[in-house]
Amino acid sequence: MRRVWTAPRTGPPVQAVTAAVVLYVALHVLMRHHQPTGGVYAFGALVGVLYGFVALGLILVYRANRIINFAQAEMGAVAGVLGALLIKLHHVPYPVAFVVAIAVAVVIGAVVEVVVVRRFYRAPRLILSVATIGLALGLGAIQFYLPKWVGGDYSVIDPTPPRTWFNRFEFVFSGFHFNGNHIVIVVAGAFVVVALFAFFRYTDVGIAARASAENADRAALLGIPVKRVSTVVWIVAAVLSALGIFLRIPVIGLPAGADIGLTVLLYPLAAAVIARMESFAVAMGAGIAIGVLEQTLYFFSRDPLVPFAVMLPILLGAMLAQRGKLSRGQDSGLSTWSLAREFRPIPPELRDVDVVQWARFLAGLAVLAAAIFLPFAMDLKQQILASVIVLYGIVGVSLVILTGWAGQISLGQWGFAGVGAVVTGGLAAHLHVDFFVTLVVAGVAGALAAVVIGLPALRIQGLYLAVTTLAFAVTVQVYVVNARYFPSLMPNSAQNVVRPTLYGRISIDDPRSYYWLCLLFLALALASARALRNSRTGRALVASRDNERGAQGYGVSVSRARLTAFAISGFWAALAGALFAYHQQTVESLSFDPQISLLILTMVVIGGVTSLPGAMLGTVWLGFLKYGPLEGSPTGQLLASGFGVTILLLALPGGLAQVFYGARDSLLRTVADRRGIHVPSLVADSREERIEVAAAADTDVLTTAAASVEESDTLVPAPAGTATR
Amino acid sequence: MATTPGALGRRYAPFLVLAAVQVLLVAIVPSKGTRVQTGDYAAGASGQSGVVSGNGPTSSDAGVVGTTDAGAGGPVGTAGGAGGSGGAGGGGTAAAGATAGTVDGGAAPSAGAEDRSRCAKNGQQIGPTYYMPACRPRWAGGDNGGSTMTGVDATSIKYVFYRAQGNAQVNAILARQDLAASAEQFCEAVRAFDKSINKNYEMYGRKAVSLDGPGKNKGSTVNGSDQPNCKFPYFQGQCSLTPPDPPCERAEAQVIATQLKPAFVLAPVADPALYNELGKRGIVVIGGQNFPEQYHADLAPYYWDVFMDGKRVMSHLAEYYCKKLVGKPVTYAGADVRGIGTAPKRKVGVIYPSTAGDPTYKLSVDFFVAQITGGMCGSKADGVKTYSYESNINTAQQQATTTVLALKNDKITTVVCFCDPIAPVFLTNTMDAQAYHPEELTAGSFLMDYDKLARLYNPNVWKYAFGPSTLQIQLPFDQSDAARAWRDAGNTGLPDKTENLNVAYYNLMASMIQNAGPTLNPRTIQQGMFNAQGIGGQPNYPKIQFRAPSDYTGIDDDRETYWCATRPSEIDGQAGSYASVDNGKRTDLGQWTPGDPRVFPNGTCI
Repeated sequence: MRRVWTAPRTGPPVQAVTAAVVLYVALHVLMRHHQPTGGVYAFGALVGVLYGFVALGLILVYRANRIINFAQAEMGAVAGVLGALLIKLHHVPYPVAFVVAIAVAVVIGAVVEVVVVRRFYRAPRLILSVATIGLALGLGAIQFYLPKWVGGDYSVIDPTPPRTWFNRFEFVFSGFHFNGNHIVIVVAGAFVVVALFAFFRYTDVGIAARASAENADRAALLGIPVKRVSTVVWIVAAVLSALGIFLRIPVIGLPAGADIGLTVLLYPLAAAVIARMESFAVAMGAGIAIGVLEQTLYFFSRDPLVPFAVMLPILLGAMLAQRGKLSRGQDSGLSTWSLAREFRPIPPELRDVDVVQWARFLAGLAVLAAAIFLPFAMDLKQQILASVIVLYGIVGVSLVILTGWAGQISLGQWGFAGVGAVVTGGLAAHLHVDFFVTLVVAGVAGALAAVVIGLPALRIQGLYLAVTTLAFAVTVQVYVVNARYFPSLMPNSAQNVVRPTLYGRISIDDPRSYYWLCLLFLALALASARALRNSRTGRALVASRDNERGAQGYGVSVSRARLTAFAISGFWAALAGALFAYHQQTVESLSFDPQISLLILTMVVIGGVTSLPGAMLGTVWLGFLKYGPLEGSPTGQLLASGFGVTILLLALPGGLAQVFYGARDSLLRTVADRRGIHVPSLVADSREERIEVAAAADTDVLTTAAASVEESDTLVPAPAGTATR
Repeated sequence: MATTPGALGRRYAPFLVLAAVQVLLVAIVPSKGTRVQTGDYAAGASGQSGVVSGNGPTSSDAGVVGTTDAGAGGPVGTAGGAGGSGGAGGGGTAAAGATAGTVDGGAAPSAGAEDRSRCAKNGQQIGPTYYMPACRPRWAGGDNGGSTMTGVDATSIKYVFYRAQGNAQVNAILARQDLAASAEQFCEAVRAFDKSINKNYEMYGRKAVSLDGPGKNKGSTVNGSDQPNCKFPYFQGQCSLTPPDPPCERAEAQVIATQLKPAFVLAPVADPALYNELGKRGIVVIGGQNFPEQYHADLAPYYWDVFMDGKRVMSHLAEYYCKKLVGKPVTYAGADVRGIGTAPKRKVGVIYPSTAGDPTYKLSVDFFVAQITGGMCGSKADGVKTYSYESNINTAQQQATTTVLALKNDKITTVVCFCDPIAPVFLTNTMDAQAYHPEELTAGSFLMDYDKLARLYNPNVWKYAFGPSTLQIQLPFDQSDAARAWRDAGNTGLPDKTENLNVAYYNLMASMIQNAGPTLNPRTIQQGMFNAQGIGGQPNYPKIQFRAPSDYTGIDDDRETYWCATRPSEIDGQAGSYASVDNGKRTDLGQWTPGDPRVFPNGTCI
């Protein structure tokens, strides 16, 4: 029996059937007094197939590039919506529109891979993942303009699903009216799974793609055109997405919005994670199971928030169940996911040079003065919102600790802020506890929550943890920051989380004072993070991130180091949430949108995820984008934050910190030259740059491989999948 | 590698000292905010200092009111003085004083030779709307109290019209029924309404002055080429409503409260955060549409609305249901629903938005459920289930399918959609696709009972819509308040079709000013409105009345209606309108008569 369960051929189908039976029985027992009908299950399965399409695309891209493609849904949405618009506006026959949509998806997939993904070939996987966030927003903006470009406006987006040839086949199953379009989705789902299986099993390109996914450099050395294979994979992913969108339009209707949304992406991501980012059949099965779960839980609770909240325990369980099942290749993929460029401190040879010391002092003074006097250059609304941006900055610092140094990807950091805000709301509005006490208690609550979320990270990390933190952020918004579930904690509409007079003397009531208070806490967060980085714990964190086994070999407790990172990171994020509650003088769920977590992650990556000054630069960028000149222009913001992020990362893979540290190092070189000081680390840079230029210019496989070998000598971050070399 | 206790002590000593000092400070001089609880707002209203003790900006108002009111009359002087003391208790005294002084004080200066040329025979002020308040003699000059509250001086009453940022997708859906105004149309309309109220209402020597927003909120210029000819000042909101951005809304509210310092804010459409922030900061704000009564009461006397509050909407609906529908078999649904299940009785499903758990609508829905599951319906209670959805245009269609599936499976026979007006577009189309045609019991909320909006809903489903409606039998648009105010301001033609909403807010603000008397402040506004007689209760004019202690919303009564897809609308003559029972007779709470609904007579329209 055990052999059947674990055998490569029989295992997955047996496990899938078992899981389906267990799910069915569990739902049956749970809802024994209020049984969903077959129609609920069937519609859930149908929605699940659509999740499965996105999940398959996510897996494909993950296998090729070891990233989460946040643009997976949007890549197809542009093509799918175009096809639907052709039908609606120009009465193009359904099959023709279908072909056009698929053709456009092919072009989008290819363009995205060649123009964007390929340029990030050697970048850390986190950077490329964030670049896809930008892509998603940019493609969302295109989708927004699409109706106009095709010859109409938004009024053409009729919410009624259009009728197709398949509508004529109608039947009722358990009270639910199905038609041919529903059947097409099921058939397409099954066909796609089989086709993908066959593609990767029996075609040269498929086998090459698998080889590339396992170890890109080894595949390249064996003569596989890795980049071309990657293009094919992205095309297939885009086609899958377009297929999913196009098929859903006659059933669910045209997506009316400019972006599919993070919460909607959570389900396909969960399906992909359950499939260990590996098995197409399991991903489709998991997608279907999630769809069924979503529909039945809604049926049971009649609250769309409940299925979201349930995702967190499911993902935590899935994660804990999977350690030990990952292949070595996957494991290495996870470890390289977080590799990001490290920026050196000032070389010791120059640290004590008077000019350098003065420059540091003056630069620090200038930054401090700029930060302090900034409100005087702002209008009132900007002053008020500047505090929010500073609080995002504190959460950014917490992300540098957790993601930049500890290598634990968090897509839900704003969720910890939500925990802090709820605790503060309860203590301040209901119990009138001292301001500083509320901050400390909120911070501790955030630290505890982070440790609980981080515990599974001791067993598994990277992408899996990232998805779990995303689910955590969703849960916090819909469940924790919700007066329905925590009425004694949440302040009501008449209650203020009143800003106190500090020590009975210092008013923090006006926007400027509060901004300065937030700035003070940001400074404390930065100081604490810097102290952590310079401590043994900080070094252990970085060592564990870079080489877990090596660190363990030196007696470092990786578990303790990681949990410490989670605790400290959670503390500061929750403290930012507490200050946010005082800033808003209330706590409301709408302020804790999980999308903000992604925004903050993007901000930190844009700045430079391993660097505190980088995170601060990212904070400034975010403030400029959100409440700067583009405020009030949603499409402008979408374009700027979308393609803007992608272009910025293309130009500066190390983020804004790359410019900052590049400029600093040039100045240091000048100082070293003038003073005749030999600084090996600064000289080494020029050699590294030459190699990078050579590597970028060469497309030849062998040259690339050779460059890769050379780079390993100069401690340039390794490309994806090379850690097992 | 081990660290000795001594080394640890040396390393962390500064931190420990700092922590100890902080603990000491917390113990000796705690940093606590002033308690602000429900009721504090109302209690401190006259002087406002009770309200703003935590926020500060209008603390000076207390003194201003106290001084000027003292000049106007003894009782009000007491009020001002009490308000000036700043405490909640003092505010209580203020309320009593303000009652005596409000309107009488206004009449005093002109007692000798009253100019009543603007008074109609029925005692109302002459003006372009049916809802003109009780007539006041023309102000003959004299001391009007000067700066009686924030945003008021001897010659002006400053107000802000907050125009929320639009959403392209939502506007596109509304545009199908010509319900999306351009920036230019909007600007021209509010300019006309501003002119009209200044011309027709008694403002006691003052003039209502609209304020421009600062910077990117500067309505007169910010819309650029979309608004080339109109430079009327208003506040153009920059915050996203879909999805909502509460920090941004609260920031804009703070800008309005602390920078512009108006007496009134008119905000027909905005996120609850805006009203909450303005109310907490002691600014009189009007808007929201069907928000819970509790929201208004919590912020009394600052938060008002033209439309019925959510609790009253649901009270009407519950009474209607309990007197006419409970315990009876389903009558007005499609055959597919009438045939569902074995139980002959109705089973109600209430749909409401609860974006990210926002409790705004749930409060009213819970009240309704309590009423028809025992409260008002007593032992005859029918089954009822509630269904929440996320108000998100991007996921609306899929949510609609999920919801409809649940409704079908729960064998819901009668659907109450306490929804935003766009949600039924998705819901009804899905219902039709799923061959599900339940009774659509209307609550008269969120303008879903407006003919032109209802035409957006699937006719095969909406033909089963009936129930209470807060709106009146519509007049042709060229006879509506918006058109009359437009012409009254000297314009020709007609404003855009959405402006009846905006003009209602202008008229309410103007009535508040007139009813309050010359000593304009939140308390006199409250007293003036509570003392004013209700107006309306006619088929074309709903009754609008505000009552102590907690009725801060306008429309009181309902009419009984049903949807008729073939009936021409009074608004534009096009097919598709709500038909009235009893010629549109208005019914107040407690007056619904028992018996079957008198909708769809002889099967017409169904």
